Amino acid sequence: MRYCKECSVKIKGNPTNCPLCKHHTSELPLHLGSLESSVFFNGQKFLPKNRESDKDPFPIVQLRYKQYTLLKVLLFVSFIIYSILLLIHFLFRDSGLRASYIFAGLGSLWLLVLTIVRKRRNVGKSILYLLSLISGLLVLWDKLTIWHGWSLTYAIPALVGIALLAILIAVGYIQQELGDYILYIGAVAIIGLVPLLFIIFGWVYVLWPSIVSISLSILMLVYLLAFRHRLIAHEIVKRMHM
Amino acid sequence: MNLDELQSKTSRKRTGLRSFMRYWLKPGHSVQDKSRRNWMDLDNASTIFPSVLNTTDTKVFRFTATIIDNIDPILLQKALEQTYNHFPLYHSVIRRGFFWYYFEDSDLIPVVQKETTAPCMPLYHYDQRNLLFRVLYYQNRIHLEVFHALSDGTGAFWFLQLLVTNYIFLRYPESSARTRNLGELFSLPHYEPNEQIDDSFARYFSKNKRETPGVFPKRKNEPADYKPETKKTKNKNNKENKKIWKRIFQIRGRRTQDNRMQIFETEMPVKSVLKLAKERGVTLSVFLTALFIESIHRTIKSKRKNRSVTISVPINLRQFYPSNTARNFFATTLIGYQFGEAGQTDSFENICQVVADQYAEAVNLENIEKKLRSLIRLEKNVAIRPIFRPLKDLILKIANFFNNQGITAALSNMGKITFPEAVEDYVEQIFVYTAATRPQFAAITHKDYLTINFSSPYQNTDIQKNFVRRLTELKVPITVGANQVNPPEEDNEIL
Ligand SMILES: [Zn+2]
Repeated sequence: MRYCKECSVKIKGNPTNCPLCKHHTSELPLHLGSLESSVFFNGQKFLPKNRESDKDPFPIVQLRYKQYTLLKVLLFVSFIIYSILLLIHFLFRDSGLRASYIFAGLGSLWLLVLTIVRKRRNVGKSILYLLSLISGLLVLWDKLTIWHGWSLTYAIPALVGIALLAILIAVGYIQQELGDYILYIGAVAIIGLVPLLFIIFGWVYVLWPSIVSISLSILMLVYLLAFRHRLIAHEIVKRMHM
Repeated sequence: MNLDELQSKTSRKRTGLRSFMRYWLKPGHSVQDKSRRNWMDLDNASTIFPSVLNTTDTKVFRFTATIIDNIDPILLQKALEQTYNHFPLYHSVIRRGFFWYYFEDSDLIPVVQKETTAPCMPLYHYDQRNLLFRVLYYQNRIHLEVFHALSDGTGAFWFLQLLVTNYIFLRYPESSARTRNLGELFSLPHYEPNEQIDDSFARYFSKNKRETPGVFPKRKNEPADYKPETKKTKNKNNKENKKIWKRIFQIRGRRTQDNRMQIFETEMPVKSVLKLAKERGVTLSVFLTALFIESIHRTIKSKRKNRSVTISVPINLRQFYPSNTARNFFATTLIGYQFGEAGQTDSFENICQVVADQYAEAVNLENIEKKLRSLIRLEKNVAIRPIFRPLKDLILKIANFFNNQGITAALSNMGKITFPEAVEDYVEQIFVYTAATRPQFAAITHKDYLTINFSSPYQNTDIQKNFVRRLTELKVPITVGANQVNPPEEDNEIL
């Protein structure tokens, strides 16, 4: 226990400075001494308080730095890389390095990092977001590098299949409540039906990848509706409640 | 069993192929049965908390009970589990829906932890199924930290009361032997699950409830001449009560380094403060509010002296509308003082009088009811309900920002609290405070002692200093405890 003469207060623990006014603290004056730490007021005696009062009332907590500091550093680094690559692009015109590639590359990287970081706590949501994001990016890259249609023909159907299997394995492995994931699984399966549009509009030149993707999705949807429809209804009512 | 084992008990087991198959194929699998959990809406006051919380203002508040000896964590854990069984509300987690947040039941088991972090760290994280409270211990202290969306101070104190009682019975068995009516102790109405999770805002203030005569429960303290509000009185009241504060002073300053709260616990004999209040003919709450206003005003630079200082104060609605809910059931009111008005001396006595008048006005039930009814009408508005939740968050954040422009500071007086008789001898002191966007304090009286606990996100401590010094000048003996906001640097000499 210390004492601040400026504030006339007793201070718990052994601080060298008064937490209120920052003046140096001193020993407790005799009349407030530790043995007689009971307080008299209007002739009435109050019980001794805080027998542990020589100890600090709070633990010392080290400064905690914000986790976003790391992200800021990475953002800065990628900005520098972008500038350097842009410089190369302007200095060596025939390098084949196009400004749009550089921009799209770093942009894709950042979108992926942010999605993974923000959705890290729900694997179902994470897979759904990554599937949508990567599919979009693949179409973009296909466009950027003169349209060949490989994104729609092979990449997206493959990605959907992989996502469905990944979500099945990951969720079954984690063994947490299915209710947390089931709507995301449903959403991935519905995205898996999109290649049907590719076939209908004739955007794809090889059909089997799309057909595999669609079949997997239909299988998954049939499973969900046949065995988990009550859970799905419960989750929808809960989340869509107005 | 020690605490480490307990912590690992809650962690997950390895997944084999068989459990993997069972997870997907067996319809009645235990994990999936639990998947269809009970859920309920947030109440009117809770709605705002998940939307407006941030890393500084985590909307978490803390009760501290100091016990005569150092805490035994194993017994505390046991006491916590016993208490947890009485509080189904505390099993809830908050989840995000498409339109609203909602409470969902969980079967998480709370585990006591040694206090190693700053007070009032966040409890709610989106995408994480966390309990909305935690129990910590440090030396002879038990802390209960609660996310405000779950409970208000009264509800949380019921939890603390039972937790401390259970702990003391376990730690000092002679205390429970001295208690005659043990059964009565554990059968209070607020331990009834249905009473505890009652949405009392909806019960008392939603549409059509008041209009049905006879259904509405008779209120305590209801004035004899009370008449339900009519169109006529409504208009009249609007003019009378809407005090518009001009040029409201805002406290600004340098924040603490890592945004932790600066906490001051001050304890003093309640009689000495009550005497000061009585000398001025006012209540303890009025006295403390006036003192806070004066302490803030003394930090204002002379150029801006003629501003008004406004204090946001919560009113516990259980005192007017009978309820055993452990959820939120409070309204807030704004108490203020306009400095430098013509024909008025800004003496402490005058501030006391002005504040006392406003307190009297604030508990006018017609006003409270009108305000809450309009808040509930807003929540139930057909134009509001279908708004996408992230957009609601944004709207609430903006509304909260503008609302804060009208508030200088906040305080809360929890009044006098007690523990069961046999337990009191082992409980030394109770403290309560909350995470805050601006300096504020919470006061609570236990036995003969009043504790006034300041929390602030700022480094500057002038307001707290003014407040404490004013009391010590008036001969109130005060003991202060503070946390370190500028801890000694860690050694970086690994290079
Ligand atoms: Zn001092």
